[in-house]
Amino acid sequence: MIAGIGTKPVADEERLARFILRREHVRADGTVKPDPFMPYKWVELSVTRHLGLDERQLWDAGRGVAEETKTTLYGRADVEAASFIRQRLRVLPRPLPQNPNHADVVDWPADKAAQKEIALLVAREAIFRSTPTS
Amino acid sequence: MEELRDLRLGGEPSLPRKDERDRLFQALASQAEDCANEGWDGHGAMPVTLETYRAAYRFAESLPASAPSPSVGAEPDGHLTLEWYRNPSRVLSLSIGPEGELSYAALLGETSRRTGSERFEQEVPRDLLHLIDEVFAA
Repeated sequence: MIAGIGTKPVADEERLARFILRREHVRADGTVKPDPFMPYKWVELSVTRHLGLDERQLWDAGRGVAEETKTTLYGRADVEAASFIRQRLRVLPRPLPQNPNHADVVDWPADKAAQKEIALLVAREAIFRSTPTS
Repeated sequence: MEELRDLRLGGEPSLPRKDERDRLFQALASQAEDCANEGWDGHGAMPVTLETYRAAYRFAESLPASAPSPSVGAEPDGHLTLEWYRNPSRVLSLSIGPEGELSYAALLGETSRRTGSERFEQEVPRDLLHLIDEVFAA
C-alpha cells in the first residue's frame, strides 16, 4: 500500500513518472522515444506522481501497473509536470484504488501530428530509469 | 498473423538486398506480430493490423536506398512508427496507419519544429525525404 496524495493539485515542479512497459520505447542511448507519451484512447495520458513516495514505493506503483496489465516493467520515464504544462496541457489528479498517486494529462489536441510534436518535446525532457533488479 | 509471415517471407521481387533495409523489414514484421492483439501496451492499445503492416512495408520499400534506416515502433492507436534519430533535438517521428495515413513531427534543433499529415500513395512524400535529410544534416 502506498501513501496517496489524493486530489491535491499538481504543481508545475512536481515529478511525474510514465512507466515504460515496452522495451522499444527506450533508445539504445538511454533516451525515451515519443511513443510512450502518445495519448490514447480518451486522449489522455496516465502518469504517476512522485509526490509523497520514496523510490521503493514508486517502483511498487510501477510493478502494480505491470502486474495489472500483464506486461513487463522496463523502467520509468520521469518528467516534470511543467513539461506538459508548457505545451498547454493540464495534469489532473485522478487517484485510483490501486494507485492513489495516479494523474491524467489532458487537453491534448485532436490532430495526431500535433500530438506527436508534443510527445517529442516531452520525451526530450524525460529521464529514463531502468527497473531496479532487486 | 500467418498472412503477415507470408508477406515477410514471400520474397517480393522489389525487396532491396541491403542488410540494413532487410533489418528494417524484419523489425516491421516483428513489431506488427508483437502488437497484433488488443491491449499490447497494457493500456488497451488497438492492435496493429495486417493492413497497417502492409502500408508500413510499402512505405519502407519506397524509401530511397540512400536514406538512413529508421527504428520501428508502434503507437496505442495501432499505427506503426518509424523514427529517424540523431539526438533528442534532431529527430523525426512518423506514424503510418492502415490506409497509408502519414502523421509526422520533427524537432530540428532547439527551436525548429515541423509537423504534417499526408497520405502515402506510391512514393515517399518529398517533404518527408527533406526532413530525413535535415535530421542528419551537419
